[in-house]
Amino acid sequence: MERPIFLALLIVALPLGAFAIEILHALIFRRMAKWNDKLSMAAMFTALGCALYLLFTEVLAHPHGIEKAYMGSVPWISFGGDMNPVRIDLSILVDNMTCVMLVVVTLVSSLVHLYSSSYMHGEERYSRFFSYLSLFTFSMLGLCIANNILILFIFWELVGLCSYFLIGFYIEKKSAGDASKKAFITNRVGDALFMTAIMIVFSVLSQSKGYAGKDVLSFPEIYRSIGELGSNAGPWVGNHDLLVIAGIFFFMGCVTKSAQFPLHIWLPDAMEGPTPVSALIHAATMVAAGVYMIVRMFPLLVGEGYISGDWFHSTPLEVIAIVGGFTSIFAGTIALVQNDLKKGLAYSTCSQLGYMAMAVGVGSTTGGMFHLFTHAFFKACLFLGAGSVIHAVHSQMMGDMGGLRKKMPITYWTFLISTLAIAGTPLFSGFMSKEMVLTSALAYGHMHEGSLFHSLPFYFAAITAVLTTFYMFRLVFLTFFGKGAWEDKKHGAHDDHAHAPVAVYAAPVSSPGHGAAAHGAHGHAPAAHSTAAAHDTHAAHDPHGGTPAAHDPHAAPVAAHGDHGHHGEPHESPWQMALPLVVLAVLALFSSGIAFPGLPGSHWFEHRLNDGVLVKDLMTESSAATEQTRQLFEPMVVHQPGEPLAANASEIVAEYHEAWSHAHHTVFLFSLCAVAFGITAAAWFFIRKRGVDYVTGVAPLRGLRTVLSNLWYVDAFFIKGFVPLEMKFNNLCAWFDRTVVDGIVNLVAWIANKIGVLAGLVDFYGVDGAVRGTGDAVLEGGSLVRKLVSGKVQDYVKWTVVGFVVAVAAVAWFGH
Amino acid sequence: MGHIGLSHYLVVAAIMFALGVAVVLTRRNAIAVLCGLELMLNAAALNFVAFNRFGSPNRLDGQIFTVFIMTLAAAEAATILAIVLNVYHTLNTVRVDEVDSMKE
Amino acid sequence: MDSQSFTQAVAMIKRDFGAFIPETVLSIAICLLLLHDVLVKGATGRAAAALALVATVIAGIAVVHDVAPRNEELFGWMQDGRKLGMIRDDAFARFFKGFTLLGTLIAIPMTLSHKALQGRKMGEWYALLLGAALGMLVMASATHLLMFFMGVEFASMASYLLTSYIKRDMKGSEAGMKYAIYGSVASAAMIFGMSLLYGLCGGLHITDLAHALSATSTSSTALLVAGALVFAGFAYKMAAFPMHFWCPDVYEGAPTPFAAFLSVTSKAAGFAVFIRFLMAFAPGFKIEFGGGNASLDWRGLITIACVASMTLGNLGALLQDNVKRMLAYSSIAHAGYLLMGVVVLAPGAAPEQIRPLLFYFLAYMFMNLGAFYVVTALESREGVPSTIRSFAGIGRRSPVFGICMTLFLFSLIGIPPTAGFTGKWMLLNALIRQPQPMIWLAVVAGLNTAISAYYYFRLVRAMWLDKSSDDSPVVFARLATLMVVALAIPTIWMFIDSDRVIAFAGHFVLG
Repeated sequence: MERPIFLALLIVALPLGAFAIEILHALIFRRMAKWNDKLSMAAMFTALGCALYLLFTEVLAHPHGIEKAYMGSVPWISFGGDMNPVRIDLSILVDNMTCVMLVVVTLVSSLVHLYSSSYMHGEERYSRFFSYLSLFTFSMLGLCIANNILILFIFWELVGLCSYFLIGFYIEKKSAGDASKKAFITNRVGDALFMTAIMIVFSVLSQSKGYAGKDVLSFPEIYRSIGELGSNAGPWVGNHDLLVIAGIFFFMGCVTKSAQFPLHIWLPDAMEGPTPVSALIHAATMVAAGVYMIVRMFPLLVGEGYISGDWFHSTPLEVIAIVGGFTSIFAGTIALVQNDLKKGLAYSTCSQLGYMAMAVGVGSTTGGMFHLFTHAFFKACLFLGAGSVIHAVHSQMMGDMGGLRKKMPITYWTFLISTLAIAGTPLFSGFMSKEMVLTSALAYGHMHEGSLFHSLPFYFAAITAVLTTFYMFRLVFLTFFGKGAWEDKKHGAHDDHAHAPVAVYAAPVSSPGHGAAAHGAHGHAPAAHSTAAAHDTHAAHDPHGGTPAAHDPHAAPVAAHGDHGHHGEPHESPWQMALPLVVLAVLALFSSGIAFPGLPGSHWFEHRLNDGVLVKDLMTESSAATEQTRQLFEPMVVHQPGEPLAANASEIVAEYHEAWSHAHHTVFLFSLCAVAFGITAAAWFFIRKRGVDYVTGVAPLRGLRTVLSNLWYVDAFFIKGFVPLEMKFNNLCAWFDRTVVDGIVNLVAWIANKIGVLAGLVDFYGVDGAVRGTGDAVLEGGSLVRKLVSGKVQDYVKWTVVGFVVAVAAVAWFGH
Repeated sequence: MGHIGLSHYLVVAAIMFALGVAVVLTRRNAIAVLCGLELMLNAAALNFVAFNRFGSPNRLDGQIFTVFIMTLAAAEAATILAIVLNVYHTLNTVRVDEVDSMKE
Repeated sequence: MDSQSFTQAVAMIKRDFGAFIPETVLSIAICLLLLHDVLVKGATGRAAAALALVATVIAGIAVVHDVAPRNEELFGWMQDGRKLGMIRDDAFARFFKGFTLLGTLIAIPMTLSHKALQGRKMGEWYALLLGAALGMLVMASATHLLMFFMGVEFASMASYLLTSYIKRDMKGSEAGMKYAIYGSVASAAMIFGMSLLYGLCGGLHITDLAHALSATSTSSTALLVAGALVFAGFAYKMAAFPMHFWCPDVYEGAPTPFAAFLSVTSKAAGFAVFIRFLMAFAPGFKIEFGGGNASLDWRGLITIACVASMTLGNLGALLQDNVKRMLAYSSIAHAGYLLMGVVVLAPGAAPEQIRPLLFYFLAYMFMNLGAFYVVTALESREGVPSTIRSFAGIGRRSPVFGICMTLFLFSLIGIPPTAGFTGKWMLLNALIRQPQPMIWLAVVAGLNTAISAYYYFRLVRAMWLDKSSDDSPVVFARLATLMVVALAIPTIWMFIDSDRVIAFAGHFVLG
């Protein structure tokens, strides 16, 4: 076994091993071990070490990374003989993209493990959390190394399952349970279509002669079939519609998993889960799985133009581009009006995922993967930072935040760095990836001169870029700048010695009766820290449910530090939470080298995850590749814009290169402007004006705000419109089944009844419909048979003779 | 009377067989059933001998087979009688139509 | 017949004896066992069981040790330059011999687990058991009508006695009598048919039959009648329609270990003789004579038997309360499924055509013996009749037995991941992949499987879901537990490693 394959397997096996040990312990001792967190962390960091080792020795050490992809396989299912052979292998792929994904997943996961050891401390089901995390990481890693779309699908489902567990982790909260169910069910829709796509591919390929006995669902074989299509041969010739349908259905799998419109609805609700979960799953890894999958399936999505480099006229890709583009702008608008920090970040994630999908749709898989890569780091940093803030102020609503800049410097600076990255500021990694995405979108528009439809992706993306900067900085300013809501409460809550008890709660914002503003429903409200006297009036508001004695309101704020004992005074998080933030921020800065074109390291990603090289690597290594098929992929050597054009590049590739260079400059300028404009506008609105209600007094905008707050009514549509409609459809089907279908069956049963009477053998009853009727009929048949068995041996002989005579007569009669 | 040929033997054997079946089907006493069984077996034996004599006179297969049939008939008779005796001791009857506790 | 000198004959006997060891061993063991009862005072069943076991094992080793079958007939004579004999040593015979001995091997501990057969002299029982086995060994290798006859009778006779072995057992006696009468009538019919065949074909050896049939023009009615009568005898052994009537009563009345033995080995032996008989009727099932105006359609007859066995067996089992009776009808139905494997045999086709059938036999042995073993263990525990009610709650009270029994039942239905599923699948596959596929038969088989699920599941449900009067755990004897698990393992293993078993089964072709 080659070392990379071994390492990849090891990396996948480590979290699995941790999970297995933890579960075994739980099974044997009937409780979770106390050392779950340490074991999971150890496993993850070891895996991270291996992944980094793999990345550095294989990918970064060579100018083009892994030239020939490593593949290993073990036969798994194999039957059918010659007629219709079925063969599915367990096969692993280790190429540049895999190595990168492995690093991303293990890195973010390790940091999240570390972070959770502090964030989730004190939770009742703390240990279980880590076993879930290990299982999830294992599933995600398995997904990344799969060389077979079916294996990928299995891990895909596993990942969805872990997401269900983790979103619904707070089992006491009904909303968490609902959210996890929503996530799972929504994913089912996409998964069903994904599965259909797999079936389509399987049936088309396995019926083709050239693929007999091969593992037709593995990537090399699928790519081979597309390569053959380029020369107008192979199983897809004549099956173009199926190819398109399969492509669209694969994308539908991506739509749910990566939260594209219209199946994005589960992602915001998924914020019910703990913040580390949001960081790991719903920002960096799981949601990226959809994008990863369509990148792997890219040749199939392109179809026949793949070999010649014409990646711009394929129906599935057009769909992807439009849907991705629309998603990004759609989610971006909603993010504008979010008052919940996590929900804002969730919509931001949705929007960025739209970017990634759109990038793939416009033909730049490198762009999509690059953005996935950089996004993972800065989004995880943002979420973990949000978690840090939430931990400090015990609320998710930005109305309770503000002015945290001085109190939580590390959180502030890392958050700011990541926000700059997501905005696409030069010198931050997000700049390089966003630029690539936008450039490819614009080049795509140029390729389809004059077509509004094909220019839309770019316009969507461009507007989104501005929106992104704006709303992200809004988050920063509302959270870290201005006057903090906690400051008011702090004065109110702890100034208890000097004031009369009643006056204690005369916070400037709210009346003693306590408006809603000071209470989130979350965690510790400052109300818990009033004096004993004030507790009489306010105990009813205490959502914490703790006894007043649990908190010592008279102790000085400093002395009352414990776990959460200090309230009202946000402070920086412990090192377990701060360190990951720092690491991620550094990556947000430097993950694409020094992020400016021409500066060292800035193009390391593109050189290695080159659009054309992606598939050619696989083809040279695949045992299925004959010299013939290898040559099919020769024209693909260099498609990468920015590289010199290869001599044998086709016309359309040359055209694309040109469009790209033109677009490049435009986008560069545009990005700079967008960032500058966004930051300035956000600062204007939010640094000075403290408060979420920024669009006061402007009527049409207020209406727009309402629409946005209601999420463009998509969720409402599903809940109030679609689902009831669907239920009506269900009822219609049930009526049809009861009345029409059963009626027919009853008729048939009656006829058979009459025949049965004639034959004297069977009675049909159609009382409860066909099933009962058939069952009764069969049982009646049984009874009749048994009537023959009278117990007297002479009767046996008699019936034997009769039977024989009948049989022989029948044979003799019909035999001639 | 004409020459007694193969067909005569065959007819007799067939009649014997049919009578044997009839006896088995109709008589109620187990011993009588046994008699019918013997008739059937001997019909077969008669067939063998007849075919041997008229069909391939130089060989002995049919006659040997007949000897075996006779042996078997004896063994079977012994077995069945033992079993019938057992039934009599246990169920107090030898009438086959009364031995019917196991039925549907 | 060419003449043979005495010394030549003796030399031949010496040479051929090597392949006759299993039968010899069993014969000696039978004698010893009969003597054992007479000579040894105060014997319990154990010594006899041990002796029978040893004999079976030795016989089994003798069957397999000389790996390559000789593919010739034993103790024969020369005719037309070929050696013809009454029994033949080929791979097919070896399979069924080994199969029978394995069945016997399992029946012996089953006897030890059976309460009613404890604490008495068992020499006779084992003698008869081995006698039945001996008869079946002969049936497996017979190539001469006389040997067919002898084998069948030997096995049957021993079976009649074994059925009513427990004196003063009302059901046993009744069953024994019915079995004896019915069986003898069937045998008599078979012999009559053989006599007619002898007349039509001029000889008693199988090859004689074939030669004669293809050469002369014979009245097809006579041939049909003769063939049908012979088929009667074989069908009786196979427990197929229309000779299945004895099955339920005998299984219900006979001691359970013997019923188990009967259901598997006797059926297999019946199939062995039938197939050998059938294959001799080359060229093809439909034999045409006299320029094509007359024919004998074996296949039609077999198909009718197949369909009727399946259907009647499954319908009969539906409302059974007595588990042994239910298993009897189930075994009739399985005879139907097995006949599907026979229907597809065509004399000219590849020898591997026998593979699905042999595989299904192997699967059938384990699952059926397993099911019967569980019934034995249950009966012995309480001395209650084996009704479905006795099974209530067994799954909860004795999980090992519950799981194994569920496995056996699933296998009998044909649900993955069991051997029964693979076996059925292979049979259906063979049906469909014929040159003229018999899809309708496969559909009927499928429907029958669905019907059968009902009564098997009743047992499963009783075991796991029904309330029993007390829920205390049930501990079965160690031997029973061991054997049941040992039978359950192949039931799964043959599914997992089916390729290997199928390849193994493909070796045993008609030589």
